[in-house]
Amino acid sequence: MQRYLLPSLLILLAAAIQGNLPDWLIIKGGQPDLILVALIATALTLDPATGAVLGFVAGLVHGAITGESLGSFIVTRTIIGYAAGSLTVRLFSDNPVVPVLAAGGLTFAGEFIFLLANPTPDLIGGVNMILAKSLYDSLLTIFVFWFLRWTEIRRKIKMASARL
Amino acid sequence: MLHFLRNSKITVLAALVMLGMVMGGAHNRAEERNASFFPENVVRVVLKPLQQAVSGVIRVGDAAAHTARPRSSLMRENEQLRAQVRTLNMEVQRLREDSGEAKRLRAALGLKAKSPDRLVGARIISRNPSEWFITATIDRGKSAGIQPGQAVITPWGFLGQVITVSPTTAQISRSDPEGHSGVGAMVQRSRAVGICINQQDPEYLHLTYLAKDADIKPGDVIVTSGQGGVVPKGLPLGRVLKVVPESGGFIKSAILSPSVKFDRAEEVYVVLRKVE
Repeated sequence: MQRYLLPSLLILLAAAIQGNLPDWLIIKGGQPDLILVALIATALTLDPATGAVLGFVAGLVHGAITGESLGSFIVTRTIIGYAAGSLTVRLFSDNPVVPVLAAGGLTFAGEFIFLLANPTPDLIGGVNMILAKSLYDSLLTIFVFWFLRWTEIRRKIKMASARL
Repeated sequence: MLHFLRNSKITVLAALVMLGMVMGGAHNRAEERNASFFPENVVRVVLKPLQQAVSGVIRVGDAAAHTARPRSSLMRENEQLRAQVRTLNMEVQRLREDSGEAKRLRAALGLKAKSPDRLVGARIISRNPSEWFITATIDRGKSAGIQPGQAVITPWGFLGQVITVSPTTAQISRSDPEGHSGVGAMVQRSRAVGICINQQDPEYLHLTYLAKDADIKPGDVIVTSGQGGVVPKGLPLGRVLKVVPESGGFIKSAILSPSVKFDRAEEVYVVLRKVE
């Protein structure tokens, strides 16, 4: 259970920071989505079903702090969490390219579904914003992902030392 | 439990997606009834201390960054502020004159001055968590008497409306709780009326449904018209940047620079008027 505590706390912390991001971080209308970064990075270290549960929590948190389109947030984040968890099963996630591509691709796919569910009059602006956000998220995910891997490895070493 | 999750992953995904859809539907229905949604409230109550802590840390960081500026930049700013104080002093004198005249006229007409609205002060603790919506969270909620639909103002003008409330926090947006972004507006100089709506770009507002012969020009101040009774009359909305004729030529519209930038507001006031 302890293994799931850190991801949940990370999502809550990401949600608290998300609403206080400085304006200068916005490029082409897009800003990093820290809740999504926390979700993808953690789901990449877990399995698909747990990824989906974390995605559900991330969607509920993001929808609650936005106050709009709660259902769209929950559904897109649940699918993203599941997909990120599936990538761990299918790909060797120690490869640094995996978290970068996974975060970029999943952010783009998830936000595009969100755009379809909540159409905006400025479609090109919306797509530009998604591209900027995907790029941001891929760059940030690598740091969060390696931080989680590092804590996991430390935890395993501690357990092994305790057994010896 | 965890073993079950791993073995039936597709079932778990389908169940969570279904649950998400059901919760989305329930959330929309709660919004239509101006009611609060329990799971959303729980998340907001849990997150509030964390949001306040992060917001406080960022404010301290901003203040530190603001203090550590080169002397030349501070002197330039000082000079600008002195010029601003001079202009504002002149404006205050003019407003005192106007206020005195209004009081005298009211007394002459035997009108009783209306008591001002009750306001609740609040601090923004989170803003724009998603680029899709222009929203923010304030640190006062239902327990302070706040209801969806109430107007949110700042000393510089109208900011938006409350869209949802939880016991201790409220979500505010430029749009009203039904997602309509219009607010009754008028040109302060000529009293021509129209509707002020949001643009995708938060840096601008759109004033539309103005009569084709409406007296409006760049630089005019636009204020709330008070129609509907929820938003007080006379609050500044913005200044006209450009007047544009609408296709068909029956109405015209204008692009405004908002008097309050949603992204930069920190302390706000909620007008505690009863919303039907």
